[in-house]
Formats: sequence, structure tokens, C-alpha cells
Amino acid sequence: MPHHAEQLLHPPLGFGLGLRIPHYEAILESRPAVDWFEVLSENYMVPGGKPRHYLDRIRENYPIVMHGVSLSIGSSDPLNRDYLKQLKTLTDQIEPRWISDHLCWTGVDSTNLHDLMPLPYTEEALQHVVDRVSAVQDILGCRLLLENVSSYVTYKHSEMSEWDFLREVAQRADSLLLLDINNIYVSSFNHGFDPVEYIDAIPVNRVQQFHLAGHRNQGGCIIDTHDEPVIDRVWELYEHAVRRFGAVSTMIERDDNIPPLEELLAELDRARHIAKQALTQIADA
Amino acid sequence: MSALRDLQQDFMTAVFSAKKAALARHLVGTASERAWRIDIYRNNAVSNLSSALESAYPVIVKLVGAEFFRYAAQEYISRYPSVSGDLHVFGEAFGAFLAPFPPAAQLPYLPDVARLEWLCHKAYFAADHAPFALDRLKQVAPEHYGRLQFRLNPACALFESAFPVDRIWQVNQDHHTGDQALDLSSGAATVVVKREMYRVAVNALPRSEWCGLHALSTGHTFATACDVALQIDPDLDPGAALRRWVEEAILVDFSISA
Ligand SMILES: [Fe+2]
Repeated sequence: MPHHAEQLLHPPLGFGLGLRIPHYEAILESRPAVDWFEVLSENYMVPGGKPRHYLDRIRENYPIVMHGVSLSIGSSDPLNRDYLKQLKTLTDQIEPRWISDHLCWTGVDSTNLHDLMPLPYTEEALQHVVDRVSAVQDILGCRLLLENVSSYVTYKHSEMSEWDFLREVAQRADSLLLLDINNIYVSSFNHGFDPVEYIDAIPVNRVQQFHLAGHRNQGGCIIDTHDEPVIDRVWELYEHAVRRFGAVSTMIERDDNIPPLEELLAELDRARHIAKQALTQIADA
Repeated sequence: MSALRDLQQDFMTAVFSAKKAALARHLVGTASERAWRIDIYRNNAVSNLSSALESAYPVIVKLVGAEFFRYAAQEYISRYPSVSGDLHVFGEAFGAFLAPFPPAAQLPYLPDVARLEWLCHKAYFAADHAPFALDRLKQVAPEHYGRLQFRLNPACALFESAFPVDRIWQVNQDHHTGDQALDLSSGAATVVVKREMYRVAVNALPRSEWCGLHALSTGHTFATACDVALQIDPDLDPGAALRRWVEEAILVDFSISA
């Protein structure tokens, strides 16, 4: 192609898993066929002990990406410089392929809820987030990936859709995206929008990573619990996403009710299979 | 005040104080729908913070039962909100909180067990430090022995209590298979918290040794530590005790004070 756009994305890593403590030993012993692991940054922002010991050994054999939950990029508090300093230190030690956090806020007035709260999709919030993402990227020296969160409330004064907001943040701040396919499904169910319309509005050149996860359907509302296998409808959306975005690094996220490693490997194989089929069909078309 | 800040503060109020009206006015939906949607965030926050407390205080959970613990956790969360993004440091004041907590007054040892568990929690994530070879001490000239200062392993902590907290802690470990007997009137305990192969252990020490180690850990010289320990137990062999502390990696480095 004559006019090659600047390549924003890192090379894809394939199919990964979230690294969880109950699997440390099994990973070192059986060296499972996982292409990479994602670690929760905050679990390793500690002086020493078991998590750091195992991560150092696992990263000898697998590429690592870092995923945070405490950046609180949308908070109206000042950026937490101490946290960013710790994150930068950890990044220098772990040398992850990339770093992600969530497009949300987690607290205000220095009080933390340790939960991912949605932002109002307003021009004010957008500008605020864009400024902060730029500041964080300057400190970390790389593009940040931002992940869409599951949400349970809709704000009256939102001026745009979640997908427009997500796209605008990425483009204006020149950052990357981590699309959580389950979160798109959960929020589409909770708020009554079309998940396909969401996926189709996201720019192809900025999606670096996918999350797949399970949830709890409580009838009127779906709670994003990460304690169940991925459901069929989310697999269908994943297939749709692969057709749109291509071979994006994909992983299964399980945070609770953690099964033996083999079970997650089987789920990951399903992702491999679906992605392969979707990509073959595109190539044949 | 910006609209964003206004909204976020109303959100926090709804989650922490159950006063939902201020947040509800920002939300789409019927009154009852808005109320249960807000409750999801309230429940999530409480359950995230409670699980953090539960994982730091497993013995307290066993001692008081899951239901009472959840109640105490909720009270703690609203009185001591999490001020750090780092969930590892949430819960530090739980022992101090339990001390004057009326529903826990029947169990006077509870605050100290909680304080001990917090030391265990910190030891789990503490920095690694290699032990030092005893041979290194042989290179110290005997006239310098009194001026030796030692460094406590960062993954160790010393704790004393008027209650047998070491026994309470041990019999309430999941992997505990030994004697279940627990005599709450057996009196005071002087213990060391240690990390061995990434597993945290709590061991009792004779009071004399504990006081000597405590002196060393607060920067006193070996001469002072010996005085302190020998006052309690004149028969203690300080040289043998020192060897044990080094072999068990309770002490991990030394220097000679000026
Ligand atoms: Fe996710």
C-alpha cells in the first residue's frame, strides 16, 4: 500500500491468560501452551515475597503484559504521583510488552472504592481524561491501553455513547484500547444497546488486546464477576470482533472461583479455534 | 466545582452512607431501578473491601464466624475508608478498631490476634533478604563483639501480647493438624513472625531471647541486648542464641557501631 499509516500497535502475542496465584506452580511445572500472561500490576507493587518470586521465574519463559486497576484515570482528584512512580518502577523491572488500565474512576477525595465506576460521557469528562492519559503516557514513556468497563448506571447528562467516548479518548490522547468483549455484552444488556454497533464503532488501528470473561446474570441485570466460563453470546461477539480487528492478542480473565489451569487452557483453545476460523474465512473471502 | 467532581462526590456518598438521593438525580430510570442499580455499586465496594480484610485476617474470621466478621468489616469500612489505591495496605487499623468495638468485648484477645495477623500479612509481601553466613562473624575481632549491631529480616516481626496469641494463631491455621488444646489463661506470649519458603509462621520465643532480639531490632548493640536478656534469664547463653537467630535468618546482616 502506498500510504502506509503509522503502525500504532505492538505485534500481537497470540492467546494468553491472566496470571493467578493458584496456578504459579502448575505453570512452572507444566509449561502450558499459553502464549503470554497478563499480571495485575498492583499485586506486584510490593517489596518482595511469593508473587514477585514467581513472576520473575514465569517471565523468563513467557511474555508479560501489565494490567492495572488503580490508576483512576477519570477521577477528579489530582493524578496519584506515588502510584505512577511505583507503576513506572515495576514497569522497568518487569519489562511488560504493554500496560493497561480501565476507562473509569475508582475514588475521589482520596478515598478509594476499589471498584471500577463509569464516567459520564460528556465533553468535560472527555477533555479531563484525555489530558490525564497524555500526562500518564509522558511519565510511562509509552502508549497506555484503556479498557472499557462493565457498568450498571446511565447518567442523564451523558452527551455521547460509550463507544464514541472510548474512541475519542483513544484518538485525542493517542492511546490504545483493550476491548473487553464480555464488558461490552454486560453493558449492552444492562443499558439496552447493540453490542455489534459498539464494536463496529471502534477504530481498527487502536485495539491492542481483547479480554474474555464470564459473569452472573441476575435476571434484570448482569454483574461482571469474572467467576464463570465465557458464555456463547460473548463467543459470538468475539468472532465478530476478530473479523473486524484481525488477530488481536486475546486472553481469558478469571478472578474468582478460579478453576484448575487445564479448564482455562480448554477455554483458551476455544478462543484459538474461533479466531482461526474467522480469520480463515476472511482470507478465503 | 466541576460537574464531574460533583457527580463523583455524590457517588461516594451513595456508596458509603446509603444516602442515594444525590446520586439518583444524575441517573436515568425509574426511582426503584435507580435505587437497585446504585446498590450494585454499594455491594461491590463493600464486598471488595471485605474480601481484602478477610484475606488479611483469616484467624479473626474463624474466631468470630463469617457473619459477625462481615458486620465488623462493614463498620470498619465506613469508619476507616481506604485511602490508598493499594489494597494491600487496607485494614491496618483493624486491631485498633476491634479494641473498643462493643460487640467484640467478650473476646479480649481479639485485637491482639488482629495485630499479629497484620504483621503476618505484611511479612508475606515484605522484601526478600538473603541470610548471612555465620563465618562472617568469625572475622570480627572479639573486642568489637559488644559493638555489633544486627539487622532484623524485613520479613520478620516481633510481637508481644498478654494473651497466648501464638497458640490461638497456630490452632486456627488451615493446615494445622497437631494439638487443638488452647488454654486462654496460659498468659502472655512473646513471638516472632517469620517467612519460611514464602509461608508465614508464628513462633514463640522465651521472653529473655525476645527482649534481646527486640533490643537489637530497635538499633541497640549486642552488649545492650545481652544485658537485657540476661536480666530476665541469667542462664541464657547469648552466643548460642545469636547463632540460632542467624541460622534461622531472623537476623540477616550486621555492622559494627562507631
Ligand atoms: Fe476485563
